[in-house]
Amino acid sequence: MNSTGTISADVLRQAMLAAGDQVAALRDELSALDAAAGDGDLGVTLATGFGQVRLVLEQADGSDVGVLLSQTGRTLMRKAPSTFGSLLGLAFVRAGSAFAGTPDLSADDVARLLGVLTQAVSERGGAVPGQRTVVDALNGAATAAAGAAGAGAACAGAAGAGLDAAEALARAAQGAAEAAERTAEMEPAVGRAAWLADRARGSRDAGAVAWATYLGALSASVTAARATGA
Amino acid sequence: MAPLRKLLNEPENFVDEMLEGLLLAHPRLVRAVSGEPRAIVRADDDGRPRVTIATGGGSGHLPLFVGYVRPGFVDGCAVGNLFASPSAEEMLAVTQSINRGRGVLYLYGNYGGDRLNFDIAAELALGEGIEVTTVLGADDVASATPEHASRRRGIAGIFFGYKIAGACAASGADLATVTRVAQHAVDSTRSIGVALSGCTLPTVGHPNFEVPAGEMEIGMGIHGEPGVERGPLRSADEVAGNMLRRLLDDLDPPPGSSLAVLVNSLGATPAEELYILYRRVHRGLADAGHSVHRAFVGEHATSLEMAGASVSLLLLDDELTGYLDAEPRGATATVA
Repeated sequence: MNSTGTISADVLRQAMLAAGDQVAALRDELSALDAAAGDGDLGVTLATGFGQVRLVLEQADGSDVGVLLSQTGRTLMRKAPSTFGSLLGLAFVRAGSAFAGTPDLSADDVARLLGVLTQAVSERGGAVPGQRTVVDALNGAATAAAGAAGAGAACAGAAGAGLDAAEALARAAQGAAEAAERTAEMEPAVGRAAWLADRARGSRDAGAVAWATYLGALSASVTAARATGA
Repeated sequence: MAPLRKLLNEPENFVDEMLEGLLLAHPRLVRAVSGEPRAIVRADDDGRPRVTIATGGGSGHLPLFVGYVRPGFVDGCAVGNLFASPSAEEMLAVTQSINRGRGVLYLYGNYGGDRLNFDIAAELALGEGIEVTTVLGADDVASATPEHASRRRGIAGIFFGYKIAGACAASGADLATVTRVAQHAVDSTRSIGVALSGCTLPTVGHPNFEVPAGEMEIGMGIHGEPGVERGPLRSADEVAGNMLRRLLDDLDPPPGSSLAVLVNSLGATPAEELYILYRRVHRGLADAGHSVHRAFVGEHATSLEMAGASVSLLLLDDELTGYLDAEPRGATATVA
C-alpha cells in the first residue's frame, strides 16, 4: 500500500505497457486523422514503435523510473522513424535522464516529468502551444498536472501529505484530452499540416490525439492499480 | 502496376540487400557497427586519435552518402531507408564507433528529417562525453534565394566538403579547425541540377514525379523536389550555359578566380553526356576569366535511375586548394 501517494516504477511499467498498447490499437483512427493533414502514416508508425516498446519494457528493470523512460525513448527513436517518433523518443530519453535512479513518482514528479516532455518536443520540434500539434496536448497535460500538484501542496500545508500522484496523472490526462479536442479548431502553423491548412481545419491533430490516448490509458492503469492497493 | 526495369528481389528488402552486398564487396574498406546494420564505418581505421567525420542520409543516392566512407573522406555513415532519414540511434552508433577522442564532425545535406535526428544524436553523444559539431551542405541554388541560403538543400556539392574536411581531419587538426574549414568549403560551393526524368522507388512502384519526354526541369531536387524552371529540353550547350549562369550569378567569384568543377550524373545520364556538359562549362568559365583548377566528372550523387545532371562550382583559395589536392587524389568516390 502506498501511503505517500506515489506511483512506483513497477506500477508505472505496467501502465506504460497498457498505454502503448492503447496507442497501437488506435492505429487506423490515428492514420485517418494524420491523412487529413499529413502523410497518413502516424498510426502505423506508432503501432510499430509501441509494439517494440512493449518487448523492451517487458524485459526492463522495473525498479528505476529513469530506465523505463529512457528505454521507451530510445526504442521509439529507432522503431518509429518519423518526426513524431524522433521527437517523442527524445522527450522520453530526456525524461529518463531527469529521473535516473528514481524508484517512484510523486505528484510533483509527475508535473515535472510532463514538463520535461513538453519542453523537449517544443524545443526540438520548433512548435509552441496553439499551432495544432502534439505540443498542445503535452502542454495541456503538463499545465494541468502542475496546477494540481501546486494546489495539492497548498492544501496539504503543515500536514505535508500533498496530492496523490495518481490524481495528478488523472488531471494531466484530462488536460491532454481537452487540449487534443481543441486542436480541431486550430489553424496549423508548422509541419506538413501547415501547407495542407484547408484540409486540416475541423479535425483533431493526430499527434495530439495519440498523446492524449497514451496519457489517458496510463492514468487509467495507475488508477486501477491504486484500487487494488498498489 | 507496370513492371519495373529494375534488378531487385523483394522491394521491402532493397536497402538491406544493397548494404549487405556493399559490405561483402568491400570488406577491407567498410564494415557495419556490431548490432547496427545501418551504421557503416571504415574497416581500415588505425585508431589514431584525431577528429573524425560522420555523415548520413537516405538511401537511393549512391555513392552518396555511404560511398564516401573511405580514406581521405568520412569515417562513418548512418544509412536511412530510401529517400528517408536514418534514426538518431543509427547516427549515435556511428558516432560512438568512430569517436577517437578529439570530437566528431557531422557533415551532411540540409534536410529537415536528417537535421532533427542528427541533432538528437549529437545531444545524446554529448551526454556521453563526445563533442559533436555540425556543418550542413546547402549548395542547391535552386532551392532557396540567396537571402535564405541557409535553407538550401544539399546536393552533389557536398563531395567537396567531404574531401576537404577529410583531408583537414587527416592532417591532425582540432575539431574547431576541421569545422571551420568544412564550413568554408560548403559556403564556397554552389550547385544546380537539371532533371530529364523522375525515378521510381521500388516500394512504390510508380515514378514519384514525372518529367515528360522532351522536357527538362532545372533545379529539381534529388528526391523530386520541384525545380525553378520547366520547359522543352534544350541542347546540352544551352542547358549548361543556363546552369552556369545561375551558378556564377549566385557565387559571384572575383575576376580571375580558381575553381573546382563537379559535373555529376543523377543516375541514368551517361558519362559521355556529362563530358559534353563539362565542355560548355569549361569554356564558359574561361570566357568569364576564371580558371579550372580541377574537374570531377561522373556519378557522385544520384537519385536512383533519374536522368539528368548537376553542376557544382567550388571557389578556391590556398587553404581549400591544399586540402582538395591532398592525398588520396583519387577523384571518384565510387567505393572500390
